[in-house]
Amino acid sequence: MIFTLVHIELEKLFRSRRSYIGLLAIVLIILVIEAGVMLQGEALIDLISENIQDVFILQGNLLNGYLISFLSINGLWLHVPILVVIVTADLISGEANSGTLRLILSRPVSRNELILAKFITAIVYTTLLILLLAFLSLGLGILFFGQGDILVIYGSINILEEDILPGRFIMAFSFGALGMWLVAGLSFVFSVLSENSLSPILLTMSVIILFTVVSSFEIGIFENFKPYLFTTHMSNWRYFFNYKLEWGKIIQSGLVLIAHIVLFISITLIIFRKKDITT
Amino acid sequence: MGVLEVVQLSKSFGDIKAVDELSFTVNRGNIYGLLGVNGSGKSTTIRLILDLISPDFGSIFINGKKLKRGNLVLKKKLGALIERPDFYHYLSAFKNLQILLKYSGIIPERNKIQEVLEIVGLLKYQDKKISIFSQGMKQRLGIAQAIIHDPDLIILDEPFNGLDPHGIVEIRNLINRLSREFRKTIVLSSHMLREIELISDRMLVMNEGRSVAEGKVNDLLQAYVTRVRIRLSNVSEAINILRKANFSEIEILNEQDIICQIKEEDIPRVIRILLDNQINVLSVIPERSLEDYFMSLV
Repeated sequence: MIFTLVHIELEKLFRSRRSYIGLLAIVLIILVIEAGVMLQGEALIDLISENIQDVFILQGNLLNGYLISFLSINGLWLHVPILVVIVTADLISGEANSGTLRLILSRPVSRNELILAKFITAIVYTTLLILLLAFLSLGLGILFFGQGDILVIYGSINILEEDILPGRFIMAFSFGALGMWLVAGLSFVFSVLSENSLSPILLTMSVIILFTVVSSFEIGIFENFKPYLFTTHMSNWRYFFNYKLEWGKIIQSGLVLIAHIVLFISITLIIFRKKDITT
Repeated sequence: MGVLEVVQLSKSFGDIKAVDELSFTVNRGNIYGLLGVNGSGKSTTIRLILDLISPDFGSIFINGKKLKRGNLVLKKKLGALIERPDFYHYLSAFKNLQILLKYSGIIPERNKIQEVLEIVGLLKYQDKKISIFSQGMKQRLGIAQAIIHDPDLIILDEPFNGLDPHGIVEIRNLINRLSREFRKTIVLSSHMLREIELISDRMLVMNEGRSVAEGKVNDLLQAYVTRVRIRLSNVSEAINILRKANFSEIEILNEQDIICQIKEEDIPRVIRILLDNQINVLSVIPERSLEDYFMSLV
């Protein structure tokens, strides 16, 4: 039955125009970045390398497709979560609001299977967004700007050669997708508690923004919280752009994200099993 | 054994008792009316039967088996239209029914869907999106989705809501057809006494979550003092005759019409008295209202 439910949920998702907002937004974001780099690319390179130009002599094509993709993946901080949440937060509360949830649950449908089917649908949609982001940013970037090394400054200066970059991007986008699944999971918790579409979107984004702000503070009491905030681990796709991969940290962050996803979906299931459908 | 048995059912929302120790039985083939004003607990009762909400106390039996959360086998025997018919507005009528059949675990067959759309008179609109449907069309599609998986028990919550008189007649005929032609057991909730009276075999009157009266519709209404509008050939003489016969609650409406407050069972006697006294009775129309009926019960 779960396969049937997933099939129905996917069919509903892709027949709704709302679902294409995120995909369209990704296309627009990539095009804007491409256009921006095309017009102001040299200034961007100067900005990135301004602190090291006195020490290093930079040669070769630093303004390349991989740099475009690297700029795009930074969207995983905020704008991709928004695009994910617009759709995933609506999967339960939207149906409650429109009255179709009671239509479904008046039929012989397992509440657990329905939530799991909706979450699998959310994962498919989220993965599709990330794939689109990856293919468009890398594809168009390489098409227009060619290939080359990239310069990344995260704590240390990392110059990544072009031959290792495809693998690094695949891993970084995959890790980013895991983070976005977590965002979808969090939106489910708020979605099951709500009976309108807007509240879970706002609540999910509020939590992400709050945790991200706390994660980014380098001082005082916030330092103690950082390891426990999922936003700290969501942003660790950056590890794939360190010259030397620190697998211990990467695996730890990945496990923390998976644990949060399991936690959020478990909470959603517990609430939904007991929920009175009054709309 | 009834198709549906509700035993001592109770449900509260905070301090408000929505359903309070409610019991009733619906027998196979019956149309059973749940009558009550808005907020009397009808919809909550229906949501409890459909397992959309959990009871605080009490039990529900379908075909003698107790309904528990997650018992999907029993839910296969139910079909329901709850309050207002909501659908996926971006999908066609056909696609909505196809999806809802899949939710019921049934492989949707084109012929079956079209057959049900034909019954509710929507076949020619099967490819139209719900967004262009009128309220009446949505109600009919709501009934279609309630019967498409061939349930034993059909539950219709306020199926006449938002309909014009023509739409009400259409839905009434459809419900009658489901009962007489397809032998379905139907539970029908409404705040419209007239509709319950015209369709149901038995009814339960609810007020503040409790059962106020239960029984055969005719039996319940016969004992009820109702307002009857009588059109006559001679109003002044008719009043004198009726007053002599101890019918004192009479008012003159206009030159042709009077209103009598009498029990329904007395209507034939009133007509006979008037005819015996050579007064032509042109029409007799009971003017029941749910409010009046409730006042007589509560």
